[in-house]
Amino acid sequence: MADIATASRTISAEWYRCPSCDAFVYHKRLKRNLGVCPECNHHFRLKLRERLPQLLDADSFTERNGDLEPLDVLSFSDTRPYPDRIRDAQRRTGLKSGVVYGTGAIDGLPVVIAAIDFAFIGGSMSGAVGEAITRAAEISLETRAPLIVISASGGARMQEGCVSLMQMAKTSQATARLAENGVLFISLLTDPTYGGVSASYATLGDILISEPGAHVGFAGPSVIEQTIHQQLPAGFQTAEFLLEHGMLDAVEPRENLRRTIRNLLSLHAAAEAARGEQPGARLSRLPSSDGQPPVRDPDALAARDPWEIVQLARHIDRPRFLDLVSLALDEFHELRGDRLFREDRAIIGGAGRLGDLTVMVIGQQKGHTTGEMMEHNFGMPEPEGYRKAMRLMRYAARFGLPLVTIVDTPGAYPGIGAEERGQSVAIAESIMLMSRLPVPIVAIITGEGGSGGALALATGDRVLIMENAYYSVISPEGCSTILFKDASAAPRAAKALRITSPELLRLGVMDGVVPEPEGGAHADPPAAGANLRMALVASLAELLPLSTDDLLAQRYERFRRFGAPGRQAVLPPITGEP
Amino acid sequence: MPSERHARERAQAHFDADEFRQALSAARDGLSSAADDVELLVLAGRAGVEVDSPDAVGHLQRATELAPADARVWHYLGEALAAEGRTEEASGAFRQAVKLDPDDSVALSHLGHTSLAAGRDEEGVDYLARAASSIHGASTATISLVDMYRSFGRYDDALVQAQRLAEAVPDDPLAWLDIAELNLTLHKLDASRSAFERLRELDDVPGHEAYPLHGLLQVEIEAEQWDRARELAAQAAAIDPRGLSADVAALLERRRGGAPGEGPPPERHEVEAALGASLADYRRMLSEDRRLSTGDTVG
Repeated sequence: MADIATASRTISAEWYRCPSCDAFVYHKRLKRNLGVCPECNHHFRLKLRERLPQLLDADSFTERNGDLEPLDVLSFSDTRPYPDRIRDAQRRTGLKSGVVYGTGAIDGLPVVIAAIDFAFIGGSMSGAVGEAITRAAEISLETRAPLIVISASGGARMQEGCVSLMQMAKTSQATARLAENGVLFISLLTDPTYGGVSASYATLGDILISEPGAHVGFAGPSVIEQTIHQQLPAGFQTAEFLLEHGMLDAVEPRENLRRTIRNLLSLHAAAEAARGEQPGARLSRLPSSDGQPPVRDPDALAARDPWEIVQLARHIDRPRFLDLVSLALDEFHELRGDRLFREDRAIIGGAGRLGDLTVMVIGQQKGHTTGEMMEHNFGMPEPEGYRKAMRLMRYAARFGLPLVTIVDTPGAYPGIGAEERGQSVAIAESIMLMSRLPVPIVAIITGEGGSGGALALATGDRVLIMENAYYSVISPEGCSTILFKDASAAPRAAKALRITSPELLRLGVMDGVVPEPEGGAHADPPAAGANLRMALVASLAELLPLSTDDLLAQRYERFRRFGAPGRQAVLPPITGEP
Repeated sequence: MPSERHARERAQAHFDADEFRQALSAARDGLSSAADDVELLVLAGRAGVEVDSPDAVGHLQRATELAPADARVWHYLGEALAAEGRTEEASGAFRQAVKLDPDDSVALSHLGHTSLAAGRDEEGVDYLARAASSIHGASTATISLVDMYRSFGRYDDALVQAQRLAEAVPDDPLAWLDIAELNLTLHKLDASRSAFERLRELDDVPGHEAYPLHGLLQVEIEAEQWDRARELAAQAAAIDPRGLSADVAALLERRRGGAPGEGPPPERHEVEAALGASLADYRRMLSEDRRLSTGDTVG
């Protein structure tokens, strides 16, 4: 790291005043705290020689900058010649180009890493910065080692004119090639990241992470200055603001960054290893499970009152998405954001591990308390929830991760805003995307399977249902009012709609039923989780050996038969009371 | 004793080479046979601070027991305590170091800062002033003094320290922002204008361009130089076509008697407050940037 070690020292600083809380902090205390104010948790900006050792294994970094230096391509001069400004920045920072790239390791996992130093002309995007990031991406592509880029930038380097602008295209196409080839790219957006950097490679990562309070945006802060008669939203352009608006996967405190990135790298290392394996080897990644296997024969299931099933499916203590994921999987790392509008907490997704198999898991979350239910909008997604799910489905396809969906929703949210933002389009696109996603998909209805809002996550190769869950085109209450003209006829409607697991199995809508413990899943969540795990293992064991062509052909046929004369099962009339 | 001497030399050599783990290990080796060797205790403590060793403070405390008249040992103990956030105890150690060696300007600076951290502002500023006067060039003491004098309303004193900083580090944007703002506060408008112009020249961070202009606008509004202000507002609008520039332009238009735009134009005090808020944001950013350009060891 010779480029860094030569940094000049212009002011000797032993104490820093926190810009957030005004506390005076001794520099060695600040260093121990990873550059985070011990009084208020403000994350100070870091120098490269501080940042890289915090992330990388000791002595693992090999710099590859070589002779990379900014070029005065325009022979530019404003009040001073550009080369003078470069020389000043080089003297101030001890860096030749304001960017460092090379190879390293995090907990032994190899990575290619590039990082911009904000102290070098505000981290602006010069040809040298773009070149370093592009070269790093190319090494990543060649070696298939994940790329990590740490950005801090005020935007384009004006002194390099359109050549600076072209770095946005150059770095974006380099990251596009990584995406095409399924090589992981993690982008760490640090304070501040603006303009040409935020509007190119830095927000194109598979995973976008930022630090608390970091400022990230397109237009710099002085351009969107608060006007006298107009208030900016609270936390405008902070990492937390971006997370809330669906633009980031995570805002991680600095103390967690290395661990978080390490966990993601580890999940991807397993996926990368599985990529080239023969089906048999992939099957060996599946864990054993002591749960009960799914039931395929409807006659093996006891007939139950559908209305009772509806009540059980809605039971406040019934295990929800996050409960089931923690019970059925060995690891789960949430990834957030639709990258368009908002983070919708009604749908949660992320990378997980089932035995030694890395999977993508997506599902609706409801919660158990009033507060949780409100946070997750009672499991009713808005369009941005489905768009987040679709982003994660594409992520799964890119890295060859089998997709598991956990469905538990009364339905998609029927609000004005949802309509304005295209609820129908979002659901339709999700169904279409799932129908051709080139990875195995296992969908499990675990509670309420509310119509299109459920199907948007349930267009899978294997669709299963938990014993006390239901799946319906409309809620029994809705059907009761509309068709039975009687709001109190919901139990009758539930029966008529044939929404229970044995009936859905007979109709072919379901491929299997996940048994539940006596009294329902809420009576013994670990047992319910074990049965769900068994169902996933059994389903994936059938799907993993299939080629992508066979997978897609069978999925097409699975849904093609519904309603087709002679191919669609027809249920006999209900006997007994009307 | 040759073995202790050898351990001291090894530990010192590693310490000087920034090989702190090895320095700590060598010092510990020596201490195993010479537990009360002050030099080894000091090296173990100082190296321990660098590698977050839990016994760093203990080594240095023991050294102060063995050599209570050695100012240097109290100084290092203060630093070890400060690194652990034990500010009051650190303050006591630095106080002792200064008592034993009044010329230790770094300990004076530390004492000033620990006093400030403990909320004893007047005392802290007094120590910092003593430290700053005895340290050549730019120092943490000078930087902190500018801040503290500003917060006390001692703008002339703050300006002296800011100018000192700018002389020592002529390309430090925050020093120039201080000079510009303090001169504006003291109604030395030519000096303020010139400092904001210097800042405009100096700060090459993309996204910062509008801030020095906001400062210059403040100067021209204060000077009631409306034509010059209009010219600057036009420049600001090229960078910032909506936001604050629109408000400034509306105010200037009203002063010229032009037709108001949408809604009532802002009052002068509102514009001045908004420009002040913009510069406060700028100050926070430059303060962050300054840390990236500073060395972080005692010079």
